[in-house]
Amino acid sequence: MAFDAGGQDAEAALLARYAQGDRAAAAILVGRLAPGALSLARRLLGDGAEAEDVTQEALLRLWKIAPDWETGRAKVSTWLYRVVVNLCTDRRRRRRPEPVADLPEQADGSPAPVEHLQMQARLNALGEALDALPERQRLAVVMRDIEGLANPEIGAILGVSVEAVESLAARGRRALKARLGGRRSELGFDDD
Amino acid sequence: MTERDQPLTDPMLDELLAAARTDRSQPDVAFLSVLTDQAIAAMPADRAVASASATRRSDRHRSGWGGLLRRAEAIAGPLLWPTGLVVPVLCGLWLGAWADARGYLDGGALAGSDLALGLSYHLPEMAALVGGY
Repeated sequence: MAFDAGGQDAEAALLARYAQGDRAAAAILVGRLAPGALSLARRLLGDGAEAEDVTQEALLRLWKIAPDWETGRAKVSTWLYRVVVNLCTDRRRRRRPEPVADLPEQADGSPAPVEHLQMQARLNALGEALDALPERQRLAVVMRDIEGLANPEIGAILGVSVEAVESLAARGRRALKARLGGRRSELGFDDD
Repeated sequence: MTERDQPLTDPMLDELLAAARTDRSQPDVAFLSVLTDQAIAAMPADRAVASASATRRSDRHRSGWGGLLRRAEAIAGPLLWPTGLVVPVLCGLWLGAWADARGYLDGGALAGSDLALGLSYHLPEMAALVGGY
């Protein structure tokens, strides 16, 4: 799991300390929250620089509301994830479709090992298939099957019930399997 | 069924998703440092400056008068509203009982009481004084 589920009280306490002007709490919170937020933004945007912008924006919003944070209202990480998801969704809506990048080459120009190419091809294919999913299905699959968040937390982030999360993720997986079925050989599954 | 028609199996999809999970890169130290600087910059200036001395001061004062006063304030604070309602009600009840005991609640007794007699004597006197007679 991206965030420690048992650490919610600790995060709220750290946020309260931050609101009182504790610099050490700021550093600890960044260390706890930023990696998960950045990872989620990278998955949703597929762009490292944009993901960093979103992470910064989301954290700035957290610092801004810190003095008014009510303990027990929500998990700090869940609140932050929700902001990240909303910011990423806004950015994706504003985006123009871009051509899919070519496979990266080795720095020294020599051919990449077959395994590396295969892995890269799989990640690209999965990324494209995820991009083609309806927004909520994509969010559910990314948060549950890649980021490893629990269904209740995803429900809180998306504002839907746990059953709805399960349904979204199941439909998303079904669509991914259908979409990627035609690329079995390319993905190295032809021997299966 | 051709390959195109055949969907991936669950284990195949799980393999792809597992590959994506291992592809998670950690943010670099420089980026985390920028985020921390931004967090500190976003602190209200007075709090950020005061925090270090306040932490030390609060330990000293927790057992002194300031701490005692804050603790008493924290305990008494939630009681202010109920107390404000109950006290006037009790005062009203006490006043009613006192008036009843003196016979002021009975019309005839009220008219013949010292208070009524005093008022009937002094009020015209005051009115005359105010009126200039």
